[in-house]
Amino acid sequence: MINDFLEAGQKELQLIVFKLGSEEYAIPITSVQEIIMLQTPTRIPKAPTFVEGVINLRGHIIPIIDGRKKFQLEVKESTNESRIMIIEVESDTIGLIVDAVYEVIHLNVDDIEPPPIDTSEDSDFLWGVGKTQDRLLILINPLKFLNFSETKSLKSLSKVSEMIKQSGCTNEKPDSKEKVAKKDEVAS
Amino acid sequence: MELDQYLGLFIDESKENLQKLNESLLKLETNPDDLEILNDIFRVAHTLKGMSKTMGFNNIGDLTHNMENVLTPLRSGTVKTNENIIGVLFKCLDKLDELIGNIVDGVYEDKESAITELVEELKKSLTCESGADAAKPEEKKVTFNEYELSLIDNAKDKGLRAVEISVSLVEDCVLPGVRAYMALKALECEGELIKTYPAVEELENGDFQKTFEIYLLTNNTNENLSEVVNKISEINEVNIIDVDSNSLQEANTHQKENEEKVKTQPPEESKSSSAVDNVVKQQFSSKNVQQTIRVNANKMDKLMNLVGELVISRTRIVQFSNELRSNELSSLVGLMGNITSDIQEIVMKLRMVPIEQVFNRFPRLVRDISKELGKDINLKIIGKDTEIDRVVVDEIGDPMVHLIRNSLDHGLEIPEERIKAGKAAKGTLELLAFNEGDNILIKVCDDGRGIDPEKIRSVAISKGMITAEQAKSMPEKDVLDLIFAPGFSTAKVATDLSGRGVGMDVVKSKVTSLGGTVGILSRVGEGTTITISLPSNMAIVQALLIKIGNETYGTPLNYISEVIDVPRDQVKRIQNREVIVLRGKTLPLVRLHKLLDVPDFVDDEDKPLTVVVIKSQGRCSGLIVSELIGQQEVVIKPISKKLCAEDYISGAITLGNGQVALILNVNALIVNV
Repeated sequence: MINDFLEAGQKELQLIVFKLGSEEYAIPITSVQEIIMLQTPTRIPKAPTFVEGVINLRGHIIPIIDGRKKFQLEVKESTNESRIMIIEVESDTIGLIVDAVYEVIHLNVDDIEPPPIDTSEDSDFLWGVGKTQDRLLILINPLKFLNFSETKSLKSLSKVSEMIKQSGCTNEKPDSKEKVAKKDEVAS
Repeated sequence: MELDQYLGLFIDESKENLQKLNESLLKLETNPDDLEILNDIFRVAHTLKGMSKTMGFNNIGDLTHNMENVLTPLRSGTVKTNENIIGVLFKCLDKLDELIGNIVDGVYEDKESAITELVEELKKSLTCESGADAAKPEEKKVTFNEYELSLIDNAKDKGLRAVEISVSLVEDCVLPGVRAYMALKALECEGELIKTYPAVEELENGDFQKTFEIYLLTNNTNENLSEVVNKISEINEVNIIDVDSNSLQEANTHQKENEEKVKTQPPEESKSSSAVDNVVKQQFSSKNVQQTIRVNANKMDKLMNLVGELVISRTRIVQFSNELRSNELSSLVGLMGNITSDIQEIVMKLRMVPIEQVFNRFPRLVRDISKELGKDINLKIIGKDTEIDRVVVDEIGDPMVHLIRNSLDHGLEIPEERIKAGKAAKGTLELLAFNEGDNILIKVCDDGRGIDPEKIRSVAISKGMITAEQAKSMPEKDVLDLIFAPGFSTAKVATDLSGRGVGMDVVKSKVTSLGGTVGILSRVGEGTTITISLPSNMAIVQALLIKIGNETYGTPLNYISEVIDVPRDQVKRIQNREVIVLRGKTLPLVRLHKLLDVPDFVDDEDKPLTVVVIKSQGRCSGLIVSELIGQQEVVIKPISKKLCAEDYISGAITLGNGQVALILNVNALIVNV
C-alpha cells in the first residue's frame, strides 16, 4: 500500500495518529472512514475474543475489534478518550477501538524508515517508522493489521518500537540483529 | 462523444425492445396478416437501428436495417408473410440477442462477417418467395455516377475502349475472393479500372455469387483480355463486351426511374401506415398510462437502508416524547409516524416487479421446444401481473425453464398419443402465478401423461436410493418427492432437453435457497402440477424477538411452529440430552444460553421453561429462551461469516432503540442438536 503511494508519485502522506497502549501509531487517512464515540456493541457468540461485537452505523452492521485484545495488551477500562475508528479494508468495513485519536499529520515519504527488523510473519503489518520532529510513529498497514483470523502479538510490536527508540533509527543494522536474537529468545 | 454513460441505458432498452420483438413475432406467427403486428415489429426494428447506430454498434444497425427491408414489402402487402420469413426474423432476433449479449459481456466486435450470413438469408427470404420482388436485385445491378461516365466519354478521345468484362468462377471455387483479386490485378495492368460490380472490397472478401463484372478502359483487344483472365485458375467463363457512355446512361436513367418508383411508393404507404401508427400509438399510450423510470438498483438499496434508519429514529423519538408527556409533541410524532410508515411501505414495494419479467421468455421457449419435439402445445399464462421481489426474478428463471422443459419433454405427449388416450390433440401447459397470504405461488401444470409412482419406486430402488421394503411402505406423495433427490431421472434416454437427472434437484435447491418450497402433484394420464411457493418479500422478514439473559435475538417466524411453556419436571434426559414429549413425539431441547455462551445468565428455577419450537427440513427442536419480546418486521442484514465461527448467526437486524440484535441461524441450530 505504501508502495502504491510511492508509485503514484506522492511526496507526502496524510496519516491519522492514534494511541494504543503506550505507543503512538499512524494509519493512512485514506483508509479511515470516520471516527466515532465509543458505543456498546452487541456481542457475537463464538466470535474470536478480540471481536467485541457489532454496532449499527447508520444502517450498516459493523464489526468492532478491540485493539488491546487483538494485540494482547493489558485490557483496561475504556476512558473518555477512547474512540472507534471506522476503517475500510478492501471491501470490508470494521471498527477498531483505540485508546485515543490524536491528530492528522502530514509526513514526508523521505521521513519514513523501513521496519528495523526483517519482516517476519509477526510484523508484516508494519510499514515502517515515521519520524516527525521528536516523535516516532509506527506506521500500520491496515490490510495486515486487521485480520479476523489471528491475534497478532503486539509484544513484538512494542518491542519494535522500544528498539526504535533505543536506536533512534540511526544505526539500526547491527542493533536490529541483536534485537531479533532477543526476540527469538522471548519466543522460545 | 462520451457514450459509455448511455451504454447501460442502451442495453436495457435494447433488451426491452427485443422482448417486444419476440412477443410480436410470436403473435405474427399465429396472425401472419395482421398489419398492426407487422407495424409493431417494424417500429421495434427501427428503434433498435436508430439506437445502435447512434452507439456505433453498426452490426446491429445493419441487421435491423435489413430486417426493415424485409418488413417493408410485408407491410405494403406486396409480399405475404410466410413461415420462412418468420423463421428468418426469429433467427435475426436470436442474433440481435447474441450481439447485445456480447455488448453486455464486453466482447462485442463490430465485424461485418458476424451478420452477413443472416443478411443474405433475409434478402433471400424475400426473393425466393415472391416473384414480384425477384426482379429487385437485378435492377440494382450497375449504376455509374457522372464522374465514371465522363471517364468513359473521355476515354474515347484518348483512343481507349470501355469494356465490360463479366467473369464467372467455377461452381466449387474454393477461394472466390482470391480469384477475383487476381483477376482484378491482372486486368489493372491492361488498362484503367473504372468500376467493378460488386465493389472491390466485396470482391476481395468473396461476397458475390460466382460472377462479377469489371469495367475497364483499355486499348487491348478483347481476345488478349480474355486470355489474361483465363490464365487464372478456377475461372469458368469470361465475357467481354464493348460499352459506350450512351447505353450506360440509358441504363442509368432506367434504373433511376425504377428507383424513383420504388421511392415514391413508400411515402404513400408510409402515410397510410403512419395513420395506423397513430392509432396504434394512441392505444399504446392509453395502455401505458403508468409511467416508469429506470433507477440504479444500488440506489434503491441505499434508499431502503435509509428508510430503515428513519423508522428506527422515529421509534426513538416516540420513546422520548412519551417520557416528556407533551401532547403537542406526541401528536406531531404520531403524524410523522404515519408518514414514515407510508414511505416504508412504498419503498418496500419498489423492490417488487411483476413476474411477467420471468414469464416473458417462455412463449418462445415453448414454441421452439414443441416444434423440435413435434408436439402441439397451447401455453397459457395466468397472473403475470403478480409481483415478486427483484431478487427472485433473477433467480427463479432457470428453475422455471427446467420445469417447463420437463413438462414438454416427459409430460406432454405427441398428438397421436394424445388422441389415442382420448385427449385433445393439443396439449396444454399452464403457468400460474398468484399470491397466497405472504407467499407467491407459481404453478407449472400440464395435462400430459403424468408421473407413474411405480416407475419412480423401481428407479429409486435400482439407484439404491431406497430399499424395496421402504418403497412398499412409502406413501405416494413421498414417492413423488423422490424426483427432487439428486441424481434422479426416469427418462430412458437423456435428450438434449432433459433427463440427465440434474434438473429437479437443482430446482429444489434453488427454490430452497430463496426461502421457498417445491411440491409436486401428479396423476397418471391426467397430468402433473409442480408448485413453487416463495416468500413474497425477500427483504422484510417476520421475526420473533426473544431474550436470552440480557441479550436479544431474533428468529425468522417462518421456522417457528409454536411457542410453549413447559413445566420443569417434564424435561427428561435421553442419552445425556434434554428432551420433552410433545404430543407423543420427543422434542430435543437446546439451552441457548449455553450454546451461545450468554454471560450473566440467571435461570429462575421456579418459572416453567419457555420453549420456542423450530422446524426446518423436517426436523424439530425446542429452544429454551428467557423471555419473549414479540413479533416484528425486520430487514436482515448480512454479517461477516469470519466473525462467527460456529455459524449460529445468520444475520443482524437493528432494533427500535438503535441497538443491533442477531438473527439465529435455525438450520445450524437444528443440525447441532
